Amino acid sequence: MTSETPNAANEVADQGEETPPGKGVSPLPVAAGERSSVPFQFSGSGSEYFRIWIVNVVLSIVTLGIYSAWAKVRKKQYFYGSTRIQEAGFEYLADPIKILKGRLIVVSLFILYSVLSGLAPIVGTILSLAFVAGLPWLVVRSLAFNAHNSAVRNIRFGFQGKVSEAAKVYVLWPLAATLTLGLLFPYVYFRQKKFVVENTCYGTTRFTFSATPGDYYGVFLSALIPMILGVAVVVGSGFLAPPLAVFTAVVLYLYLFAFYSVKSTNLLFNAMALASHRLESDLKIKDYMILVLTNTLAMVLTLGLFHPWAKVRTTRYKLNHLFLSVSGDLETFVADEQRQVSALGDEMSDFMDFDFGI
Amino acid sequence: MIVFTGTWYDGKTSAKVVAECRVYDSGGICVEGIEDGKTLVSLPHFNDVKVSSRLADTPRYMYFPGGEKFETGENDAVDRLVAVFRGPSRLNFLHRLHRIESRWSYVLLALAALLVFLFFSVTFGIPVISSAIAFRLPPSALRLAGQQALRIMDQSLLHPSELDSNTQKRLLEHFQPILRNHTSYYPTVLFRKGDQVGPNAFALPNGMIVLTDEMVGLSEQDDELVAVLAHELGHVVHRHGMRRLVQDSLLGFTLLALTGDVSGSSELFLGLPVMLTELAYSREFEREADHYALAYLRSHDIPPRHFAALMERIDAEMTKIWHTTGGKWPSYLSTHPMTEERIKEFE
Repeated sequence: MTSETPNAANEVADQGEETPPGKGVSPLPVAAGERSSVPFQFSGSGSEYFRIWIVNVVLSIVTLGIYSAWAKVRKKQYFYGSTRIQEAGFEYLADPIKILKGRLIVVSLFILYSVLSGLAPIVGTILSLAFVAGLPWLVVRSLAFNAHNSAVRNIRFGFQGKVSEAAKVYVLWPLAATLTLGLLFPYVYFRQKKFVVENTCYGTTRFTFSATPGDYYGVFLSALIPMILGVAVVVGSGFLAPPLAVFTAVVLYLYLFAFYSVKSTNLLFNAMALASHRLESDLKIKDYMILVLTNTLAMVLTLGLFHPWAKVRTTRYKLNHLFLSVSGDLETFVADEQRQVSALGDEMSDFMDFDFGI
Repeated sequence: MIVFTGTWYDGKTSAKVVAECRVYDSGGICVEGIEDGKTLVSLPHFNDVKVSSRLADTPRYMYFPGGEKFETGENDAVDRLVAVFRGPSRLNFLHRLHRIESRWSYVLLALAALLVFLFFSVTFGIPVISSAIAFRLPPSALRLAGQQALRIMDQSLLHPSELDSNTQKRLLEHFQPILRNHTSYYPTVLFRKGDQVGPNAFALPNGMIVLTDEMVGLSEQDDELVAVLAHELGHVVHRHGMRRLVQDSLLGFTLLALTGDVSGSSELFLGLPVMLTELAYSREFEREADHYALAYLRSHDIPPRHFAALMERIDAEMTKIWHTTGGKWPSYLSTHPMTEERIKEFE
């Protein structure tokens, strides 16, 4: 396993010698240490995704759900492929057959669970406990499946988190947080993000995570002030005129939703780095609120048919505000050729389906 | 010969080489670096290369046997190559998909099919499946659901009854005949103080029927309450509680499957259509319960007029409260809309 890594490194060196730098159309080489902010580009369009989405939906219905695995891959491929950094497109490589198997297993397990727990409630309880016990494994498989099937510049991402560590951050710590009346929740959230980011790698290079528990407490505490003020306003307007309270409650909900999404997304990305390249995200609460509001109104008016446009608009906004602060260039990442995600468990992993990154 | 440009990645490092792909009429394919003209790969035939299927105008990837990849935005050139060398018969399903996705006529057809499907599943499919499931549930499940519903209502909405024990005893005795006629559903009547829910009655899946003190207070004859019981027993007999539970989750599941999105924002989006559909279902249940009550009352020589009379009194009371306090009680009528048409049936 270790013997091939040096080979790969040698080839980087070989290429360095064979390719004369700074000639022709390639961008000027930037000296190491010099930084440039590279934007993520998103070229997806609502009407294009609408067509893909509607065909996905109809074929999934016609095939009684079997096509949904292909639909998922196509949807992800569209969003990945429409995302580029320095002209290189992202790629989603999952095999629909594997996803289909995963869905069949999940559906049959669910039917088994329903039947058994209907016959004997105690069996249902035992199965639920077994599910909780198996949860960390599922989370790890799912993250690994997603990462392994994502690539850019022909180098795959990967995930190397341990199940024991996942058990700590997804089961034990949340339990402890519940016992402390939620005081630990920001810390738990921090641990979960740290676990995901630090175990994700691009080729052989791991991501690093520089946020601190204090940053996460900061987000939660800063949400408290608008929350308390907002509730006061809602209650106050309720005394004045009840319909006004409904309106202010909706605005408050929207604001808090935007506040939390923006703050936590910015915190996550700004704390992420890959080697010496840092991610930078500068979503704005006001912009995001307007985006969510207009999406919601359009969805309501079109009885949900606006969904593809809403998804494209949200993705575009997020990616237009995401940058990679590149130190040097992105040419020297090395593929991890040894690490193959074992087939065992892939089937199940789609069930959890965490979408990491984009 | 077909020539197009793109980028070349060897799959071992992330190094990018701006390159040109050349495919000869013989099928021979070679990729050359544009800067140095160095041959990166040369294969005897295009068919040795795996080509990703076209998806809108997202970049196309050509995978070479050594793990290398050629990425290009020139979708039309790649399409031409696939058509020439793999032939229409080799055009696989995914290639055909792109043609469906790129034509608005097919897309509009799909949209029409989807709307027809949604219409039939909402008006026919979901209710039929839900009642099939609800009627197959074991009594233990109904018991559990009923007890849980009662516990939640006791915690959040209802308070212990303030009716004196004589009234309670008198009413329960008066209810004996109708309850005895439904023993297979294990009906029991509970009294609770409604407070914010006002004059109200609920049927739980396990046969429990909750009458609020306010409802009892507004009745002028005990038979009026028997008429309400008959209506609520209609809900029990038709298993409306469980059917609603299954229907609502099926509806949510259907919409989730359509949008494939579990994020909080989509819940916000889908709230209204789901709510409107649920209201339509609920009205259908009320009609069913009405018919059950009418049939029962008629066959037991209780004037159906009693039901209408009580409903009209609740309506009058609600209007009064609305005018004096600005409205506090969400009335029994808001979930049991007493349309002219419904009242007429009970006259």
